[in-house]
Order: sequence, then structure tokens, then C-alpha cells
Amino acid sequence: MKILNSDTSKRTPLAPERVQAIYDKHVVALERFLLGVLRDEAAASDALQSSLIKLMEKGHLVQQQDSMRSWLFRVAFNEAMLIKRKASIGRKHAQGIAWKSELSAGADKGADPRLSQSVHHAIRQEEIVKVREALTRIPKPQRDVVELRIYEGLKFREIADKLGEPLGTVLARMQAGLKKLKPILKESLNELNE
Amino acid sequence: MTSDQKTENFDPQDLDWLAFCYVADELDSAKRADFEARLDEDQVARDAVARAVSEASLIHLAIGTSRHASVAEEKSTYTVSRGPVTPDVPFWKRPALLMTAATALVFFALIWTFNTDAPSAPTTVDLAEVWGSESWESDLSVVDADELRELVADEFDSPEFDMTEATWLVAAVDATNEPVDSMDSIEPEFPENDEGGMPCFH
Repeated sequence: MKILNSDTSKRTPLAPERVQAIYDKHVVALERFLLGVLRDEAAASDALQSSLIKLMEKGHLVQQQDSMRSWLFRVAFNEAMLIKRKASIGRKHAQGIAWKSELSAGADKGADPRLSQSVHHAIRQEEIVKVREALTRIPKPQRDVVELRIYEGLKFREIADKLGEPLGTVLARMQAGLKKLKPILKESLNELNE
Repeated sequence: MTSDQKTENFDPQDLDWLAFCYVADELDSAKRADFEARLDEDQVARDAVARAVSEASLIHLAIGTSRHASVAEEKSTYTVSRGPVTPDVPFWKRPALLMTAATALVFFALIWTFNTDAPSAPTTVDLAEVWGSESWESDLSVVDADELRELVADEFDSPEFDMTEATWLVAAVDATNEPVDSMDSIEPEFPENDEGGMPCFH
């Protein structure tokens, strides 16, 4: 990321259309990233708004537009860490689950109106069916761990206790399951983002 | 995630794995701090975090819809199979079954009646004749006292016939037409003994 410092006074802020275009291009991934860091919809929404304000104020200082994504994500991360520190929400939000926050934002129940519409994207039924089918194809021990961790929300240690397996075995099953699901997940998410 | 992660093929340094563990809050404080320091500089790591959230969301949704579909399927199966099988309801309390059984019984009775030549079995015509010959009892049950008097007068319209001899019949018909207010108004047919109890149960 490089920002011009020499002639900043000569440069004008980004045009609203340009800001809108950058926003549209990056906002979905940016919100997911912020949910991953903060694990809280409201906090993620606050960080996103602060990031967009920074984009309007300083986006024109980014020397290379190719690095705009990296700059925007870094700004967002700093805003997220600032929120974490200010509110001392590190541990509090650590109890939340990022993917459930994203789902609840996209579902009709309890959607946070402050979140942008990009989070409220409709996940197509065929993509869900693909993932469901992919889940049935992975070995049951791996599928059980994936379901217990992602759907039931149990910690790995709790899963190990529940299944009576060593923690290392549970971790290995989870990683193996995710790796097997990754191709179909990648394909589905590419479809959704198009 | 330290000493017991010795399972074969397990890679704790895999970026996607680290991102998932970070998102799932499965990193200890030191590893989380390391990873956040990496997030401050590494766009690939930031993308991995966003991707971990997306993938976990999709898996969560897929599992959720699968489970809901299973529950809905179970419910629909239960509803369908429950219809004809209601073992906790006695058959005599089921109107449809009772009506079907009654209809079938009447149908087979009619078939039996029209098809049998057994002389001992009365036909519907025989039963009608018998009923007709004994219909006076039925008529008597609905005649009132005045009609009975006229009937008796017509039947026994002769100087020798003493109407007073038939008063028992008129009285009986009158008694049946009188409303009974309570059981107290009916005289006991059996005389009470001295103790007031029924004599036959001593």
C-alpha cells in the first residue's frame, strides 16, 4: 500500500460514483472479514461504516488503485481492532460465532438494518443442495465433527469429550473434512459472488 | 492445538485452517495475537478470514436446511401413516367403520334373504304379515281414551254389553296418558313391612 504524501493537496477526494464502485466491489468480502474478526453484527457494521468514511476521506490517496482492496481491508481491520479495544469486546465477542452472525443477517429473523444489503444476499437453493450433497460424500467421522463444530457450535475440546476421541483426532477430522468440502464450497461461493 | 495434534496429514500452519480457527475462536491468546499481527499486513490472510466465514456460513446453512428437511419429512410421513392407523380409538367409536360394517351387514342380510329357499327362514313378506296381524297392539299403544271409548262402543254396540265392564281398559289408557310428576306419585305395588323395607329382601 502506497499513499502519496507529496501533493495530497492537489488531489481531490474520490468521486461518489468511484466510491460506490469500490464499495460494491469489496463490501461483501469486507463484511465477512469484519464478522470473522469481531464475531458481532453490530460491531462489524460499525467497523464497516468507519471504513467507508475513511474511503471517502482518504481513498484518493491510494497511489495504485490495484492495491485499493488491500488498503481498504487494512483500514477495516484497524477499525475493527479499535472497536475491540475501545469496548473491551475481545472475549465477549469471541463467544459469538461469525458464520451465524452472517446467516442471521441474511435471514429474515433479526436482520441488523445497519448492515448493507450485500450481506442480505440470497443464497441460491442449488448451491445449498450442492454443499449438502458434498457433506454426504465425506466420511461420517469427519462429517460428525464438521456438524458439531459449525452447526452445533461445540468447541473442539467439547467435541473430543463428546465423541470420546483425542483432541488431535478431532482436529484432523475437521481439517480433512473442510479440505474435502473446499472445492465445492469455492465453486458455490464463486457462483454466489458472480 | 499443541501436543496432541500429531495426527497424520494434519497441518496446523495451513492458512485456511488458521483462519477457520481464528474465526471459530479456537486459537489461544498467543496464536491469536500472532495471527492478528499477520492480518495487519497480509491481504492473503485477510482474504482467508473472509473466506472462512463464507464457507462456514454455507456449511451451516446446508446442515440446517438438511435437518429441517428431515424433520419436515418425518412429520409428513407421520401424518400420512397416522391416518388409517389409530390403535388407541376403539372400533365402536369410529363412525365411518361402524357405518361401513352396518351397511355391509344389511347388504349381506338382503342377499341372504332374497337368495335362500330355506322354509324355516321367514322372508320379509312373512315378517310383514306377522307384523300386520299383530298391529293392533301397536295401534293400542297410541290410541287415546276418547278413541277407545268410541272403539269400544262401536265394537260392542249392543244392549247387553255393559260399558262399565270395560272401564279397566279405559282407565289403563288414561293412566298411560297422564304425566307422571315424580316417582313419589306412584303408589308402591308391594306393601311395606313394619320396618319400611321391601318384604322380599328380608
